[in-house]
Amino acid sequence: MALKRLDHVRWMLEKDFKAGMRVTGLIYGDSYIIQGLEEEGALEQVANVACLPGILKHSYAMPDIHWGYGFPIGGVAAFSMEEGIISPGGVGYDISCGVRVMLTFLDEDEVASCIDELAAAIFSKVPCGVGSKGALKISEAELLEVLKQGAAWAVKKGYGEREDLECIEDGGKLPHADPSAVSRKALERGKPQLGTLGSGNHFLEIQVIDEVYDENVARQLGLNLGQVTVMIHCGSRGLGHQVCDDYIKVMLRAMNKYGISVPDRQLCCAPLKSEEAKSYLGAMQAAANYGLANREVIGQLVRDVFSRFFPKTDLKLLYDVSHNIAHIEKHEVDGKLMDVCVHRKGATRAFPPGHPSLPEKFRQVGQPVIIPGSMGTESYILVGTKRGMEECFASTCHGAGRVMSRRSAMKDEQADTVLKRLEEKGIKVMAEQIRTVREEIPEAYKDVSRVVDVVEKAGISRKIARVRPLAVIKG
Amino acid sequence: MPWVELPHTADAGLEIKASDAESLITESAKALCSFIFGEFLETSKSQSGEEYVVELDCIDLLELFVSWLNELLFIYEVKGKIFLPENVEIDLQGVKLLARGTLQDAPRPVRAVKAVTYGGAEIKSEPIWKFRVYLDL
Repeated sequence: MALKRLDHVRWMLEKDFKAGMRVTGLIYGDSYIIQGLEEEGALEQVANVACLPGILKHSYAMPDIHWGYGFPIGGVAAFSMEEGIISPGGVGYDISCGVRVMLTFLDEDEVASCIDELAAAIFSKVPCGVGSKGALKISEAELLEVLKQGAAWAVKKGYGEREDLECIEDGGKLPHADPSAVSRKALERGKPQLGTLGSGNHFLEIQVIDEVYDENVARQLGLNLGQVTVMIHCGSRGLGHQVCDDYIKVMLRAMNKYGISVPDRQLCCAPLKSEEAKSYLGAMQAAANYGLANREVIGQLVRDVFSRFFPKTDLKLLYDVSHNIAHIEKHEVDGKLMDVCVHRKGATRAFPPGHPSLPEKFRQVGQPVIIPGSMGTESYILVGTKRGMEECFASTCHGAGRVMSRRSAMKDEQADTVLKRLEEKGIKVMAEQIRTVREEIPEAYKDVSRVVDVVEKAGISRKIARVRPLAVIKG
Repeated sequence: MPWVELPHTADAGLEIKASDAESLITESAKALCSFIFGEFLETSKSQSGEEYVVELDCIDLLELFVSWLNELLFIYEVKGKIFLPENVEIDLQGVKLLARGTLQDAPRPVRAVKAVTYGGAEIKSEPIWKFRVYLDL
């Protein structure tokens, strides 16, 4: 066993696990989560990240950890602005992949009578699936504005409400986006895809709040037992994928220039002070703004459908957060408050109550965290904590985390059996590709409740409410 | 079949074999297309399509092979076409690729690939040419 148990939910990967590790690995998990980690490549990836220059404190892995590319999924690492690096592989291809929850003022009974029609109407309104093109036709000049303004662009064009912006991480716009750092290829990929869900693990769900853990905070967030909600999970589509690919090439050349070597080429990087890093940060923020605008547009498409069925109700945005991103943030390291670059790849920022970056609305309760479960299982709404801020750069998990390959999942159960089983649980599933339903069976993921229990037991975030799916729309 | 699918917890890998670098480029394209579209390439050879050229200039062979597959993904996503290479030239010293071929209409895909990654990627020329790569799905 390479891991040393620190307590019931914390495990240490010692520096002697791999030559070149500059810090230890800190992994959150119970015995169920830790079991099997050593067989796949995820632990090796935690160790590889620990080898990167300027890494601070630990190479972290959240309990939804699984084998990724470069960084493990669920990986968090913070780097010194002086000696540290930025790595496109630490953000991932789907820059600003993230999730939002919108609140209706409807209860389950009101929606149950038309759930099939409602799901079908959303499925037809929101483009999804491989290579899907958006409902919006935008010019290149408008695309450049999307990259600069993020969700604010969508609101200005009528795809969203002004009040949404304070409920989106970073106010819906990363401020140092540089569209000129985004390649023509990325623009070509992104132009027709704004307002599309994509495929794979991306989804849109109609849900109901079926458990409240902290009534006081839930009330402050506007969450009530039995209330219907909508969850949207998607990212920056082909534009983000191309930005990542473009900058991996830039970083491969930068490593030669700056004399950096990494144990896995996907971790290629450049010093944070370098021109290459500045250029990537500008492009990454532009791609992130595209992802934020994408979810805002989809949110409005969902509002349009709901208003046809329920003319007197409106959907309010609870929160929208990215879980594939790098942020420059202030954190205390060795007793000193300093700027650091935090990479979260399949991990969620979770600032504690009182954090100055939070808008007034969330200042008292902490940053909302949205943890989607697998298809057909519950999802969770949490908030950040002081301990998470102090221990792991204000980070927590982002989902359930896969345990079974798509190929194995395909062999496990036929699509119609999956659909029937979910229908028996009262969950309507609509998918552009029936293959996706088979690949995304609930058994392909960890038990999200156990994942969330780990972050709560560790004290790095806190459960507020649970939602249960009524209808799932997949790409 | 000169390629096999490799397991991955979240995504998928491909391992492709060929007798030389040029054939490995062609077989890699076939493997990626077969992964995304099923058996499309076997039925589309007789179609005529728009002529197209892909040129790459890389720092090493691994970058060249990964970039090649990412270029095919880009062509598909932007043009809705599959690039079928008919003539492939590789400058192994300069690490350059010139591939001439045609663009064919793409059928409905059965799987989505976001990107071709460097994670766990490997290229070998001995005892035969072999390219292992993982796809972000």
